[in-house]
Amino acid sequence: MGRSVMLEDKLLVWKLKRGSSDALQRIYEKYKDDLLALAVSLSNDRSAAEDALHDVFVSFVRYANRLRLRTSLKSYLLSCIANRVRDMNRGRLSVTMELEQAEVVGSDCDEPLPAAISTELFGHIDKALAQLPYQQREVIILHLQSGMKFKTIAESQGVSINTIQSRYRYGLDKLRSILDGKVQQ
Amino acid sequence: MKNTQNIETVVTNFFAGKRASIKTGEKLDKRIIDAALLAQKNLNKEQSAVSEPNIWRTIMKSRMIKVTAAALIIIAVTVGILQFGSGTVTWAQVIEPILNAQTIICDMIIGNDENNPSMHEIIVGSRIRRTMSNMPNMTMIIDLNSTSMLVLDSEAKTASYLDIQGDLRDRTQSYVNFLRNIITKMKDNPSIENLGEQIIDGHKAVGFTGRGPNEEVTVWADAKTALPIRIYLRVGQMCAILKNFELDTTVNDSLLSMDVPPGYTKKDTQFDLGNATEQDFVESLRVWARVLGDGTFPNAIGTENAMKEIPMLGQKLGELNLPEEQATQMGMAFGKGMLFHQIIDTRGDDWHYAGSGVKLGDAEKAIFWYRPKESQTYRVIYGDLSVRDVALENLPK
Repeated sequence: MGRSVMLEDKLLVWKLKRGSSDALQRIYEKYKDDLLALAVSLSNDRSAAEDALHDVFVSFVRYANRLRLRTSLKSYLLSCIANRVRDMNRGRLSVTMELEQAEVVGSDCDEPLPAAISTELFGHIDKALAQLPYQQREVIILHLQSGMKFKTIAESQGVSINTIQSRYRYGLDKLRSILDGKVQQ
Repeated sequence: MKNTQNIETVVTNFFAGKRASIKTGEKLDKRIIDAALLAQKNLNKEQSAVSEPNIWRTIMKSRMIKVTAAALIIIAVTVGILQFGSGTVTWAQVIEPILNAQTIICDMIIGNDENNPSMHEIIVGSRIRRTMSNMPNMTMIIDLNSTSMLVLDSEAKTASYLDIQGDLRDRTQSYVNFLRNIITKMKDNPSIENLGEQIIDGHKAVGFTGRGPNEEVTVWADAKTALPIRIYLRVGQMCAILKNFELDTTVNDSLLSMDVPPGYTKKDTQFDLGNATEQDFVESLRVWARVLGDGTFPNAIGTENAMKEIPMLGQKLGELNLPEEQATQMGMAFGKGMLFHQIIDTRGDDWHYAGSGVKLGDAEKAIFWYRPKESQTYRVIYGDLSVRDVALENLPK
């Protein structure tokens, strides 16, 4: 993350702590799509993802005064989303979606996908991700989709960086194995 | 899928495509922004209520005046005048007025919240005149040379002399001196952050942030005159805001006189402003849990929280119908314990509070730990207020 972005975020948080509604709206506008995308990927449920975004942002504002950022604002908010979705998932019977139920999330959007990714492969990856244990899927999404560093993920989850890297490695191995089978068929 | 790099690339591309397709809608934006603005509005209201001066006035007029005064004076006397760790960073032009001013008048707020009680300060040489917004009838005049204090009560028309003793005497200096020291040490350090321009209190201001090992100072100064508009200080985990500056204005000598003013009666007061110890801190935690928390430790501690809790402390002690002497002792214990916390925070000891929701008497749960300077082990305070030395690897997770 660039120095100017960090600095801008620092100022925004500073203003938010002083009750600035402009800062509140600016922070939301700046990160809402990244946060929603993460929540959708983690939950596979657009509606639950929107609830997670709502809960996280309102809590963020409510407790802004106590906020002591040890990482970037974006990483902090992404970690909050991950924690919120995990909490929501605990209330469900199963985190991993059944293959036949798995859908291409976000497919209700009209915007075209990049041509480089075929619809078929897109569908395979989506379904393969849904088969991974949640912890492995989570770290892959946080790292490859949201760009979070392993160290930041480890700190936000209170586990060692080795654990996070292992989950990532096992997750990728499993993903590769599933996709190899699909692609060869 | 031949190797890890391939799968990473494929999945990254997949996520990029997916990310581009997910956007919030207008309805969702409105729902969230409305809820967040409402939360912010309610928060601002709550904060205003907490620092509502009328509550203070009511308490100060009650029989618990000595309790609240005892606690608050002990905490307030050293706020911003403890000797802090040395700074290592800098900027230049905007701090010249602060370095060179003969007199400084400003307001100081403990914490990040503009609604917190403020201390009005008049600083001339080694004398400080301090009035607190939530204790408007009490004025403290501190003489840093003799490390003594004159406390004036404009309602009771009494004047009391207090000595700052022991370790505290050696550690006492003006926070303006602290500010000057840290700023001087910050000179020529390239890591100073230029925050650019902002409108602060209606003035076009330029901002700079400098950091030391245990402190951070942000100065917003007038873009034309370089006079300070606001200064944000963080020392350890304690924050303060300095604002409403007047530099080099003429101050009537009588405002900083250590003599008893005409019409006031000298009163003997026993305030223990000597060494604050770990045992004092333990006692303050006991008061906090037993009296303020009905048997449960608070969500957070520290100077800012303590200052906010003092009206409630006065109220709760009043409800207990304790003899005034005993209640005053408890008020002093609370203040002195927080003084110890200020000391370990400002000298940069590693500390952690984990007592939120823990019941007083719970011997299993650690509520606070800190590592005194030069010590290899941590001092850990448990819910039953026992204290043990614990190695780093055995600290609570």
